[in-house]
Amino acid sequence: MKQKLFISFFSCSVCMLGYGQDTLKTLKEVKVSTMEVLRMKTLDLGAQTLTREQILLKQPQDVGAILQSFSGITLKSYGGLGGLKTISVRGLGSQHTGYVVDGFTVSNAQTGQVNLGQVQADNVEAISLSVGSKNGYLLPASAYSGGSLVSISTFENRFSEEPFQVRFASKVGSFGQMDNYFGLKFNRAKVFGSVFGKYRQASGNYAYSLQNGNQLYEGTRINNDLKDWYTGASLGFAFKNDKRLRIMYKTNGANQGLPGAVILYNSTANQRLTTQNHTVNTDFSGIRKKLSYRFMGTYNYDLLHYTDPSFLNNTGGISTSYTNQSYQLGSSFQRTIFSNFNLFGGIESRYNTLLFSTANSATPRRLHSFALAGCTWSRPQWTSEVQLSAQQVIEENNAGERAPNRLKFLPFVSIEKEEFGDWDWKAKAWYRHSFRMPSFNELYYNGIGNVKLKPEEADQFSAGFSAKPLRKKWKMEIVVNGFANRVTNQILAIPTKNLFVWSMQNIGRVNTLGYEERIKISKSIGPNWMMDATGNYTYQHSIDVSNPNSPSYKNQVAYIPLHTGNIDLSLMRKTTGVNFSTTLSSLRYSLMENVVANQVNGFAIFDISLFTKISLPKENNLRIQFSVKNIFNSSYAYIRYFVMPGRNYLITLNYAIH
Amino acid sequence: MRSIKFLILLLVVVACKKKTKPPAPVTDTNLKNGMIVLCEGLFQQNNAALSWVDFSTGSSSNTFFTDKASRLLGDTGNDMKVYGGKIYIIVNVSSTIEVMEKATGNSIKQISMMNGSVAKQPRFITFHGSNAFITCYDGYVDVLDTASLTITQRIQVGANPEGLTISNSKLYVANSGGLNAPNVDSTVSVINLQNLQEVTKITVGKNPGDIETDSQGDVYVIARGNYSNIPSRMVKINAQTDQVVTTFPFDAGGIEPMGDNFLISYYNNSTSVSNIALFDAVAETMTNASFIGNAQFTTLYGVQYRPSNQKIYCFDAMNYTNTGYVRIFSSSGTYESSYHVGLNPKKIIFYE
Repeated sequence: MKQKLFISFFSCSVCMLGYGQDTLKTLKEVKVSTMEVLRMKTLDLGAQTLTREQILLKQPQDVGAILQSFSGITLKSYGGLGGLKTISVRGLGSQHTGYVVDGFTVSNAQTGQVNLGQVQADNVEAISLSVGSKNGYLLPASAYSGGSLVSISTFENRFSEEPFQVRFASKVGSFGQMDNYFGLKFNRAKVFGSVFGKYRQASGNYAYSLQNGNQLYEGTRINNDLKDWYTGASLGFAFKNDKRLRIMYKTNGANQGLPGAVILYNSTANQRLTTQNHTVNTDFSGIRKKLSYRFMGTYNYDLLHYTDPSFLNNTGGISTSYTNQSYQLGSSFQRTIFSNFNLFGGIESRYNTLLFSTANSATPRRLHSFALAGCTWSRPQWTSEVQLSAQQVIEENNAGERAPNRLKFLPFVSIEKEEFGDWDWKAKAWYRHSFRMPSFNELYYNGIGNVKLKPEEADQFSAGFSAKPLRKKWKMEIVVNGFANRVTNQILAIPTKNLFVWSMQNIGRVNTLGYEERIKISKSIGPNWMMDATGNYTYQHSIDVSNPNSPSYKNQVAYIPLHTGNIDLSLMRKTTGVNFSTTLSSLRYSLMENVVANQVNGFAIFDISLFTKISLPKENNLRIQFSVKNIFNSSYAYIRYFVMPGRNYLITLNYAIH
Repeated sequence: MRSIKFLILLLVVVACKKKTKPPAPVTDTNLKNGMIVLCEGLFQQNNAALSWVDFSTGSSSNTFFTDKASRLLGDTGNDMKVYGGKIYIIVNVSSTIEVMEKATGNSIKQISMMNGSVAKQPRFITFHGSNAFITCYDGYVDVLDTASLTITQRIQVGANPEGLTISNSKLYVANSGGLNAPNVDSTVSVINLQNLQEVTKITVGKNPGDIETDSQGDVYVIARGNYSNIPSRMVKINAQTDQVVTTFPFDAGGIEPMGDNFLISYYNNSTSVSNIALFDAVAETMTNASFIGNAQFTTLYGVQYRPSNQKIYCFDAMNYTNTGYVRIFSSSGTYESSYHVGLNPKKIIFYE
């Protein structure tokens, strides 16, 4: 029993940490040898993972900044702490990426996407991005069937071995940034409990310059301030027969200015956003002979209040609020049938409601149900996986027309071969069909929404190869993937009525041919020195194939760069080191038509940081890091006229017990 | 050693990154045989532009303003007119008026249209005597002295005024109230041009937009309705009595005078059909309800008549996010040629 508990604990935490890919296999492999798992899993073709130590090196302001160092990603950042940040993976829109935190789905039916600028990174123990097979253990059924999945494991909501743990992070940075996180957790044989909280603020008033014709336009970002906070508590109980129960409550709030695009000659900006959120998560899991299972439930309340006092209407501006609520219930299971054949699956139901505060608004409600069944079959060196997901969406609207109900079947197949020897290597090919529902805003927003919108469909093919040459003094890993994706019924906004009133239409078709490469090298230099280097490169030829008669036919899709990459290099002597980090992007177009007037310049941004770790008695660890970001003070933007900050500084202090 | 090499590599990359831009061609020669096209651009993209089309070579360049002024025009170019040898460009979201010399296209002045910290958001311009009148979305008509190029007065009108026209020594201003949708305005403000005071408001129908004066001094305004069950209609105002005389029973989006006639343009958003009708403004009857039909356009965005060669210049916005075209027709409505210009073409100034 003890042995099994350990295995389940280990497999759970390993998977949650993101090493796991095919969860069933992980269970099996853990029984064989934990080292073997780690060795194999680092060769993963589909998933990319960063753990706490690696994340600390980057000192990211939020989860968006961590995900940027993965390949296959296009980050869109509107600038500023807490500002909107989204990612698109392999040329699919941002709404094709699912998010799971500690095994619970995070979603927003109103916008259909998660603002990564408001998902903070201090509590993250591991984060992974997976395409193809989804990375995680007994995930909600919905997590398996999306285009890609970001899975985050936090310090706050896990069983750990250490009896008492503390995490403290304090940051002081440019543009008035002050930021404090505190988390405390105790663990006993049958129970764990944690409390945590964070407060951050920033004025965000950074100077910028941008090219205005042949002149340099200089300004300071205004109305870019932020105050936000969160707090919560988590409790977990372990029972006989490997049963576990977890309950977590978290609340957060934010009050921020929305600076908007830089408008030449008009520097006014008065829009503000306040948000308030409450989340309750609970799950119950267990292992019984060859069956492992999990039941989960989530309630989420989200209030968003938007004001624009300078809007020129008769009531002296806009003041609107949006109340989103979601209820989720689900269960997932895995069962080993034969030693080389596993079944897994689950069901999930998600009920979303949205209330607009404005008169004559829609009151959309949606019941989205998921069912998933899959199996993996392993032979020596070969593994194959098949999944089928069925999804049903039922829509209601008390005030006006409703969107039609939808029923979809989504297949996934993959095949993989691996060999271990002087050169460990692995090859994998997979196909997935997925879709994303139009968001409530896209369907029902006053004057803009279109209830006739169909879901946006995506097909992904991918084939890749990874290798790990075994060397004594240095370690190296290479992953290469090629992919061909197609998005149909793409939802695009186009102006209707006049240029200020846009509406949503299923008019887009996008084909993407891409390639990504990841290289990781580690080398010990003498007894005290250690060098780590990682490089990622992504090529995405993502073209608009909506209409052969359009001038933008076969042009590169707006805001998808042809080339992106990043290089990280760290050099460490014992516990002190330096880290260089670069982010590269080729030019992009702000609109579909690939003409000079639409070009947004490419950029190369360089960060450097110095850090030292001090180990104190009783597993007390102190870490101090000084970072200079954008050291060459480049002016750049992800989105045209949403300028990013120039050179800026950040001092971080991390303190941890265990 | 490796890190040093790496640093050197970084520096090389940075050094190579900066592109030097070629200096702008500065020409003070008088412009001739061509046209300047104001291209509205798209909201929050700062890509309003002027296209220069050279009729002798057929070439067009979308960087005319930047070539002349060494800077960008700004966000959302909404109106452009010539008066007293100067070009006035109304840049809505940037909240500026750009004044240029007509003969050369050289920049004379940028007038900032701010009211304290609030952008006035100017929309359209018209002229009378030594004054220019500019509708501002904050509910005023600004009076600009065309000699000193300064704002001398603000006249309060209705909400979110759009078009404006002059007849019988009075200024007629279409109050759209568009930012109060669905509770839009329905009135036209009448301003006495002697004392610059609002005299009355005439109720014409929901969401007034374009407004023009015919050759006999009658005022016609488009009440754009609510884009669903209330259609967009042309309404005639008698400028002697300031009363609504007629509401015409056909779809109308914009009015362009052509001698004694009107070219009435209409783009149906739900069917994506473009149409230009020919209306006799003297007899007040429809001459040809489908004078220039849908086959000639992707998205009709406006029309302008050039009296000197009696040709009709139509704006095709394509899908609004791709660069547009100016399509030229004879006075009998026969298609002749097209010029490729910038994003969302809106107004033309012609050079003989």
